[in-house]
Amino acid sequence: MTAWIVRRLAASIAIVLAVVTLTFFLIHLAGGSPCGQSDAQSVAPEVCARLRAQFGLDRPLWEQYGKYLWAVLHGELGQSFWQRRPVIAALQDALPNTLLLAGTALVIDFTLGLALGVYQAARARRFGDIALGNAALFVNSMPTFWLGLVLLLVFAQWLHLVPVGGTHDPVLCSRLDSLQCVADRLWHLALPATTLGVVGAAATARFQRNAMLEVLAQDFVRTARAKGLRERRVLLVHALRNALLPSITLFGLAFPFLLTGAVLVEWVFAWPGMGWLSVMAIGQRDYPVVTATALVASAMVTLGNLLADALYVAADPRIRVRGA
Amino acid sequence: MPTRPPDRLIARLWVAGVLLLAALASCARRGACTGDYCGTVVIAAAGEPDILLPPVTELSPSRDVYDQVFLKLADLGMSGNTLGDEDFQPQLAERWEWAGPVTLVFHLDPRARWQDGRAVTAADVVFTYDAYTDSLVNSPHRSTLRLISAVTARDSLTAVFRFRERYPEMFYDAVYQMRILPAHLLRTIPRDQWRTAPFGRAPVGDGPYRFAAWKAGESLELVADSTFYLGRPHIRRVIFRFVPNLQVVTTQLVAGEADVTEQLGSPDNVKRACGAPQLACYPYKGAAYGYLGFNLTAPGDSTKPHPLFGDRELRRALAMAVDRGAMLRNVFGDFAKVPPGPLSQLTWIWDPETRGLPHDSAQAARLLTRLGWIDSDSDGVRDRAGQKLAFRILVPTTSAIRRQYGRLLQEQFRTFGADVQLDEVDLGLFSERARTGRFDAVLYTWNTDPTPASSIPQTWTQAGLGRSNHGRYVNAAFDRLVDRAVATMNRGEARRLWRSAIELLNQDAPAIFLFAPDAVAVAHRRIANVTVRPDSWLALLRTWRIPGDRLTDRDRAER
Amino acid sequence: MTVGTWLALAGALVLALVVGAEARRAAGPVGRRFFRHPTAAPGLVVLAFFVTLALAAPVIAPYPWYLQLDPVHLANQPPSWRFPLGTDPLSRDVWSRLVFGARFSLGIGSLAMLVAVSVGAAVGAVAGYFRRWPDAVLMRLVDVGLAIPRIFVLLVIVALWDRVSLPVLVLLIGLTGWFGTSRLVRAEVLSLREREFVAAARALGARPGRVIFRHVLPNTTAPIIVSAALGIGSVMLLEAGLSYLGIGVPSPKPSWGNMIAEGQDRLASAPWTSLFPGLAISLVVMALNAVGDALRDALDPHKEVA
Repeated sequence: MTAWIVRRLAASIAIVLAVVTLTFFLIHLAGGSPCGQSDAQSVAPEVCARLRAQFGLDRPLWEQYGKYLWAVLHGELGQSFWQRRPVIAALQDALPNTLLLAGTALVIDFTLGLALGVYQAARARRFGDIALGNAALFVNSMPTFWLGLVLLLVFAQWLHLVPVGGTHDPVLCSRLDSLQCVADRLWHLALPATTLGVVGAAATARFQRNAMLEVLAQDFVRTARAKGLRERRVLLVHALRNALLPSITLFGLAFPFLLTGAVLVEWVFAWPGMGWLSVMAIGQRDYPVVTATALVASAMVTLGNLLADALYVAADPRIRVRGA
Repeated sequence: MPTRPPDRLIARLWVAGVLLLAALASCARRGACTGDYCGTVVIAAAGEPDILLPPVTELSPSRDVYDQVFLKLADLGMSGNTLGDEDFQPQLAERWEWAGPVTLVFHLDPRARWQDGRAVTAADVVFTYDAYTDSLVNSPHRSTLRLISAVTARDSLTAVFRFRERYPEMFYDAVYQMRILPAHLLRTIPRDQWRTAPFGRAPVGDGPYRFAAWKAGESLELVADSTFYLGRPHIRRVIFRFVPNLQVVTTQLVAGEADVTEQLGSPDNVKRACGAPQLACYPYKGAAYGYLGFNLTAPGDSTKPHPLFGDRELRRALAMAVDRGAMLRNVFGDFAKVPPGPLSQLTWIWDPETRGLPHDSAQAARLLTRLGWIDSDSDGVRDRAGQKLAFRILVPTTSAIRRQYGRLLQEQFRTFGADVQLDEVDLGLFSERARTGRFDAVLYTWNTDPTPASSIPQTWTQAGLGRSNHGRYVNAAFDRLVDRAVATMNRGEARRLWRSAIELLNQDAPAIFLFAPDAVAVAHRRIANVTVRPDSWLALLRTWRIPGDRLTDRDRAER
Repeated sequence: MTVGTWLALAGALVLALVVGAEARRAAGPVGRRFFRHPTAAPGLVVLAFFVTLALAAPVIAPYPWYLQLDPVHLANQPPSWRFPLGTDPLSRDVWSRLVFGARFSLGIGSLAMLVAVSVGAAVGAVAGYFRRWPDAVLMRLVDVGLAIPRIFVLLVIVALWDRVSLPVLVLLIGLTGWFGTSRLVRAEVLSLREREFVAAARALGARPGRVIFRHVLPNTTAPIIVSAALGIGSVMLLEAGLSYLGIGVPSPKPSWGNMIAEGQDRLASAPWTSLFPGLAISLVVMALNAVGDALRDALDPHKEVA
């Protein structure tokens, strides 16, 4: 088991390093481009000067790469021109907001999705299943930012039930210093997290429904029913436990979806997380921030996959027995 | 399997949870301010400041903030009269006198203190003048000080200004633009690094408000200085909340998340905000005008003329092609006017009779054809000698008004065979590109000074080159007319000279002047004594108050 | 809308329904499995409708997409007989822009997916056929590719290169989306290469390239087609997101994504400009998902249909 973990960890680190190399390659490619002229496919003149300054293009390539790698590993991700402070400081402010949003959305995604999937499986091929199935299909096909806009329109602008954006009330709660401020944060979090969570839940529900139906067709379920156990117990205790296993893989897939969705949802709700930071930085042609957020996002996805795989191995005794 | 009492346990957990939440919700707030000096005002702003160091920036969001932190020697009165010195209010200078026709002596108020405790001295005034006129700092306001020949300190509380000549607005020039800077804090920073110095993100001044915090993209907080010698500000905290666009500004105001804003832009927003029962609307003379400015020199290389806009006739043709009235009605409804030149409604020389280029699409088309711009390859775009009539308009993403205008102009130009693309960038980058001349055409908005004598030379004459004259328009005849208009002591004669100058500029068409909006400020009704000075709407913020009996929870909260 | 355009619209609807009916009638065993899904037929009809809209846009749309009819009087008009979906803040007909927008959104989706599927199939086939180190190298590449969320790659590229032209953008979207397809194809190829017809081809002395292209790949069409159908949907959502942020299809060209962005400022008072393009995207992606799911079950008889 530990050997497996070590191997996966090493693989994950290798992947992150490869991503760092890719970003270096991209930046270097841009730095070598002709710039100054504002025509198609050319680097913005502001960016050009800074690229050249950052790398000192007269040094040999491997030396530049080494310097870049060293800097990244030490957390020196450059200086943000827009905010006039180190990129790492901007990330430190933004990352917790994204984690909060994505984490809450993940919780909503899985609780709602699992519940819906189980319900659909229980009512398989009847009206409840079909109606919910189509609704889930529709919600899963929506652009997340469009759903966000619609919800914002209805709940914030027409009904004034939730705030129009931001993470907190800047007057009362610039610091998280009272329980009322916790409630304030939750109030601001409600709509963006719901937007992200609901779209993800739709996919989870469909997946979970199929997994449940597969499990419900198996022999041990028939046995449980024959023993006379209540249907609810069969569903929730016996079947669900086994159907949860495939959903753990869904957990790993959720990370890229949440991070991508976060970019757009954060923009719609002016939620100052990593995605919002990225898009603002693009408006300022502040490339160090954008490359840094890409790196962090990749690291998060890789970590998520690692966690999901570890969870799966821990949860499924069949794999362990195989002596991985 | 152990027996589970699931239902009762779950029920108990639910009850406990509900009780806990109820207890949390009823927690009393820590600290409670009472009386006349409480109050928190949240200002919703669509534009964010770039730097808070006065000489370096020309953005009005920056000015709104740094005007609370720094003081001038004296400030304009509510009448807006810029002639002579009778209508000016003492600020850093408690009194002044004329020691000759071109010599002005200021006596500083001995109570004035920098926010780090040091006294404000005349050495600071000298330092400030030096910084504003230093080419390394390259202040956009430098040209406004061109008629001052020297500033010296007679002693620690006396500053002497000497002018090159006598003219009506000498006092105005001496006091209006310069915010006095702390020499002891800025002397050590090399002048060419002022644009990126940390001081610009956390300034220390001598004004009624102290800088507290700035979260980029989110909010900026100022806190009242209770020891301010001209009177303690009644509003204790001022928070600028940065918001993507004016529609969100309006929604936040209506929902009670923000208290105040400078202006609302579209008629929709004005209707929504002024219709809300808790908000009060304060119309004031609009001090802004917007235009499509052409870059007369090549982008990035000011020694060469622009391949398209270096041609005066082409500019004139394009200016005649667009229907400014229709575009205005689309964007503003009835809440703006088409300016007769580079003027806002506040400017005293505003005269609708000023002659300019007419809207004449037929003549524009004829002129374009006569210049050789014809669509030789039938792709819908005119061309001449292999060059297409194609250019890009630089637009800031933060201004919904200008983005709308960009799209309207794009379509209008398309019907004339010009291919126009929009460059939409963030405000900070927009400002930098405009400043360095990296654009073909730019949609710019100016908040004008109360007198044309400082704003027009800064933007449209040779003195403004490299500073606010982004299009690099230079016409010696125009400069001469402006100089004479500024120097003339006779008001009527000055008006005639200004009109001739503006008409001359209109014929050259360095820009198409598009809109001069009416201004409506919005403030929550609980805020009393809201006085808005048209040229700088927050200038009198320190006199606004929230009476003790109208305080809300937000006002009472301690930080 | 003129009589002509109403007729054209009706024609498009009828055509879509006919396509659906004909497909159902002419279906073989695969087709019957396909239509067993209740959402497959409606999905096919919706797709056919929108594709017809895109192809016949100049005929169906009453106005050109760029035309600002009357900025003073016709801006922000609610839906009416003349403007079925209303007008946007620049007095352009939303329905016309929606129809032309179908061209851009569907076109970009299809082209980018084509790129993605081609690259993915090629990589997957090579990795699955040759195994050993080509497989190891390529699959590690796939791992790296899957680690970076797609939108971030595009953000980095836009941040570095000032303006990315539309063809290049389509290419980039395609080049960032082939990883899933390659894994699917690789799995198929791994099992196919053990079959007799492959061994026979190799015994006859065929070169690896020929074996891959003539014998192996044609039998992997099933996962490729399913991948393609589902892939167009995700590409369309990605393009909508990029256009919404302002870094996709440049205005004034209509894409359903940038139409949503342009209606944002008036969302409270004139929501139709943003609502309908979003609805269109949702419908098309939903149809693609339904068709993709049905295809997956139809083309792979080994899977149990729940």
